[in-house]
Amino acid sequence: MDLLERYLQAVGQYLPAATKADTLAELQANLLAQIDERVEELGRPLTEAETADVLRAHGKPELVALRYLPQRSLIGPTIFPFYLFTLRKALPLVVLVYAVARAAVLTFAEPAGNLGLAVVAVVVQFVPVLLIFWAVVTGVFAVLEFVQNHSAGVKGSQWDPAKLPPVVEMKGTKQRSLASRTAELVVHCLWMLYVLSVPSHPYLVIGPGALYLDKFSVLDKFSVRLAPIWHTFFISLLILLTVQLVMKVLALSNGTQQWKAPLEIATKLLGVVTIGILAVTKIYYVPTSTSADLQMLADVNYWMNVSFRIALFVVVLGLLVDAWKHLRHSLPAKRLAF
Amino acid sequence: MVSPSNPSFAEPQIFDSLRLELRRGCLIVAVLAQLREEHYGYTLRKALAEEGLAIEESTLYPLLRRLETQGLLTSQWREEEKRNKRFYRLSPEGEAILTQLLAEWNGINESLHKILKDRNER
Repeated sequence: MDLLERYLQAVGQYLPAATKADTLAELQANLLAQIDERVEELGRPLTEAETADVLRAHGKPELVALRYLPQRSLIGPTIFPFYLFTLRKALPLVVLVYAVARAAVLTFAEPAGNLGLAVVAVVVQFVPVLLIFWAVVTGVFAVLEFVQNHSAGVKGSQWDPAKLPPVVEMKGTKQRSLASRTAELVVHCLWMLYVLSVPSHPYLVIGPGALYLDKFSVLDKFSVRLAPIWHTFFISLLILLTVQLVMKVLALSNGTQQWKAPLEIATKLLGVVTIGILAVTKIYYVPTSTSADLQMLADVNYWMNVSFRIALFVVVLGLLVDAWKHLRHSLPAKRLAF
Repeated sequence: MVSPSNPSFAEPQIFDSLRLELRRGCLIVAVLAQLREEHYGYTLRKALAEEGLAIEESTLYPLLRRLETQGLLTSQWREEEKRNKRFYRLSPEGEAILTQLLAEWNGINESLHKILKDRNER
């Protein structure tokens, strides 16, 4: 019977002190009755292996003890859907606030040596923020669960179906008209022509200022000229506009609706690369002679870099928001099964 | 193609889980009904098994305590065959609840038979 006592002791480890002795006494009586019956069948005492078989059939001590304990959950099934809903809705906000705060630090602090490493650090440091957010929301809902369980009346049936919000049509499900898509294509072509004309007609960008630049040779006066990066930027801009043009031509056909969102995200990614080219560069104007005011040039380059970083942050944020919206709608809807 | 009417085609885990859910409520009714006559844990389990309703010890014994806590059973420690055993019996509250549960059970059973009969006749 040593094995039985060891088994009962193991079960008892997990039982609450108040009911432990009583539960174990009852369990012992039941197991002994079972063993006695087996002894009667065999006409001899059970071997240790046979006793072990009886105990094994009864279950692992911790699992047996677990069945005697009341069911416990930090957040019960009534509140759990609201808990998940809150996590899902609040998470993008947390990401946004964190991204804005860190982008402000990255932008206005002294430019870091390696932008890539700085971005990786920002992502890694987001993990504890995420854990704190999860812990706080879980804590709040655990308190709500406790209050609900200990409050006198549950008012779950007191609601008015007439107060439900009207049906909201999902964005992107409505197909735009052919006229609208054609007009968009025409506008894009005109926009491309405009961009292609800018290098030979600077007044298209800075208006009368172009005449001033020509007349007084302002850049020459300060002994500076545009850095080669602008050439790279212009080429990447043209690639982006060409990709957009192809997308708008494809959009004329009705069969491409399911690819619209992923292609838009891919195009925005290309836009991020285009702005990124300017944001990682720190030199936008270069001196053409030793008479150039190098301090002023350094200041101009620095503030232009800050501006492009801000622009990069805005487009990355837009890309993340769009990707999140797309993913959220693409994931299979999980519903509660009753 | 999974046929919902044929469990052999369904995922075994799904069937097991649904079977467990179906049995859970039925077992409580069976235990209450069986305890119109006094039993201790082990003999109750044997009696249920003899009626074709096998139930694991680790499920039955905690269930008895829960039903007792809910006031549906009463228990008494008593010596039998030189051993102390805890005997359970249906309480008056348990009897009332059992009557209601059996009415509910019969209602469900009748509806189910009607649904299945209607379907077979189509």
